[in-house]
Amino acid sequence: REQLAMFFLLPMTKTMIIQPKECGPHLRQTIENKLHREVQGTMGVNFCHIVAVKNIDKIGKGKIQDETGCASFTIKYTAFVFRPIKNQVVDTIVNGITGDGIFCQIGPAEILVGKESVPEEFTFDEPTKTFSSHNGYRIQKGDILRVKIEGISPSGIGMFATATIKDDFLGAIGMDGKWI
Amino acid sequence: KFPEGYFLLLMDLPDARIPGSVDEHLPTASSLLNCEVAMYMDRLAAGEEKFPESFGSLLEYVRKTNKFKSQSAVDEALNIVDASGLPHFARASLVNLMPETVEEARALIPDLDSLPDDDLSHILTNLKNTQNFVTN
Repeated sequence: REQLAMFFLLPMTKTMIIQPKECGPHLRQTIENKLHREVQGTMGVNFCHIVAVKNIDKIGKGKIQDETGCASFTIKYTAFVFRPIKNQVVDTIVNGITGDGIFCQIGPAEILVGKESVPEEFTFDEPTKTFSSHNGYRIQKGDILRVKIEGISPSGIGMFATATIKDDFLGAIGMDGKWI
Repeated sequence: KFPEGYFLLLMDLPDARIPGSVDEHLPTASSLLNCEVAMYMDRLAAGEEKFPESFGSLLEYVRKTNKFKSQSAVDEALNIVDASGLPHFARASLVNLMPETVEEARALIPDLDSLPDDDLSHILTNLKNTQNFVTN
């Protein structure tokens, strides 16, 4: 069975290195701030994009490194993560259209609906940079597009995915909220 | 505020690629609804903490695609799907996608087989009413 949602809470562990000059009063706050800065907006385990640190569950005892004098702490925390899944149906936002297809985005995930994955009744219209059908419907930048993800791979801090709108009940929801 | 008990159990992945089926490496999980995420991220954004650029683009996405615009509506939607007995991920999909008909729901969300058409139709109607009429 496939998971069909994009957002999760995920237990994670990270080893933080604290410089000697950072040790002192408010050490816990220092560690928390540093954890937020280092992990938020990055790609975590299982290629989940870490949106935010929800809470810190445990800060282990610090260990002094002989060579540097730095202290290392093992931190267990709960991360709020984003990760779309293959075969998942999601709503995306169209942010570009070319003859090659429809480029969409969900935060750090870039999604391409290739022209071969667009229903045949829609063709690319160069002057307006839209996909339009013979009966006047258009898919344009800014539309909400309901797609089915066919393939996905990590790309930097985000992901790149390919998707289709050829299946039933997929396609564009115009700016007025109505199906196109 | 997220309900207690949401968690994710990970297994080590020998392959660097994201596998096709989440069940291969995420045997137990609870999903978060986009409307919950929108409320949560709005609260984070209103605070003093600075977030990276990816946070802003994701926030823009959940705000634009959020189907329920108030905490009351989110709470009511959660109550409706929680009472359905469906798996977490199917509940999330019902609320995230808001299918108009039973046929559409079954086409988009594979795990609705256990739910009779009448029950599913009732859930969809209640969700739609919540979306339209619960605004405060």
